[in-house]
Amino acid sequence: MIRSLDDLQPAARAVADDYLREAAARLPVRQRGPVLDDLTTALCTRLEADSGPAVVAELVAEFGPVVPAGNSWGERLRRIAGGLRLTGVGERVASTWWNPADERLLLPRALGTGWDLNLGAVAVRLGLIEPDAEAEPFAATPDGAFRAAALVPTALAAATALHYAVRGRALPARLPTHWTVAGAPDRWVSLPRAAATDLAGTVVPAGFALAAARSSRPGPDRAGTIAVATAVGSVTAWVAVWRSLGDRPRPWAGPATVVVMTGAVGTVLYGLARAGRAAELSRDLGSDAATAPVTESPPGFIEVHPPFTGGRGRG
Amino acid sequence: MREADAWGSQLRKGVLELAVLGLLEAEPRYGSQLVDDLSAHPDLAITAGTVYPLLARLARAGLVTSTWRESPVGPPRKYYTVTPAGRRSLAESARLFGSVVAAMETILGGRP
Repeated sequence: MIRSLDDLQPAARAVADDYLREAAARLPVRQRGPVLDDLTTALCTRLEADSGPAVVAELVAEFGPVVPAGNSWGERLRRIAGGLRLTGVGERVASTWWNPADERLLLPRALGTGWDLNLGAVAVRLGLIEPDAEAEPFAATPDGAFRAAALVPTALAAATALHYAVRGRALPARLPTHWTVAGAPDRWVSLPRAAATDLAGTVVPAGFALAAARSSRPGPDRAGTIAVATAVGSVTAWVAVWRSLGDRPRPWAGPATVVVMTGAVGTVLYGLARAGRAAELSRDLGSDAATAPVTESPPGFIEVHPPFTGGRGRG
Repeated sequence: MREADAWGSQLRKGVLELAVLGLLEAEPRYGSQLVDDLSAHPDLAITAGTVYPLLARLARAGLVTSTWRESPVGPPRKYYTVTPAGRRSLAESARLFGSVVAAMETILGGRP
């Protein structure tokens, strides 16, 4: 991230300026200021001071040409769809949720505004993986690993179905659907409606995950799709459990939702990254090396370079 | 003074890519080895948090490629090598850098 486009080298700055000039020429005067501000902020967020002209060109190509906003309903709908940028979400999610080469724990969100936790940086800090374990995250991950990862949201859907099949009759006729900050329920729905919502919230993501795992799409796209499916499925499955805990306030249950989701998504992405690392090791060093540890030298060896801990990774 | 620091920081960042390509052209190196080798030049010292994103960008641009190699003192390491495109880029950047240095020396004279 840079504070201003002035931080760029002249050649890279020229590419950014050309893009902004072209955008300004396309926009009506009243839209020019705010749109150019937004574009400049987006460029600064995604660029580094040493980003070259090719990197800037790649980024502005990703942003695409700027189209003036119209006011008809058709134009508004097109703007909303364009703003959400649903195409390529999987790939963007994968690069934001798992970017071990970037030591920042929080990265700009893949979808919408705000920040996402970079689980790749967390794994590096915990010494679980090298920052450059894969040339491109998930690009070398084998098909079998994607199929195994898709079993996580599938298992969550199966567990939710089993939960309602086994415990359904013992559950009250109405279940909580909304809780206060203190974890006390303040809205309820009927048991069939709660069950239908929870089943849909786990089965549909599982379907997306299985389809992604069996597809021939690029690895980062498949990893991101499975990660999103795991996030939605794990939160829904946890809510199904939370509903069945009764009406007593449970302040820990809300934060637990975040922990459950982060743990599930982190496990899936870590597993996929380790599989990609193993595939690269196998390619370069033979199959025996595929299980090479990330940890440091065994006792007795002299370490000649800084240990791989605390974000100071080793290649 | 603060402006001079900021300018120095920008100058270092500007030549870092060139320095990394130069080291990798001399011999393949792994990430933390680059950090160590650059730390021998205090003005170019960087952290792992800088070198890995830089290597990822160079790899995406096709200027370097990486391969795992066995290490005699621990787990395998990923070594980076300059590609033919990287060599061309390095030659061009080095030529430009040389011209700039020569021009500045002419302008600044014998100033330390």
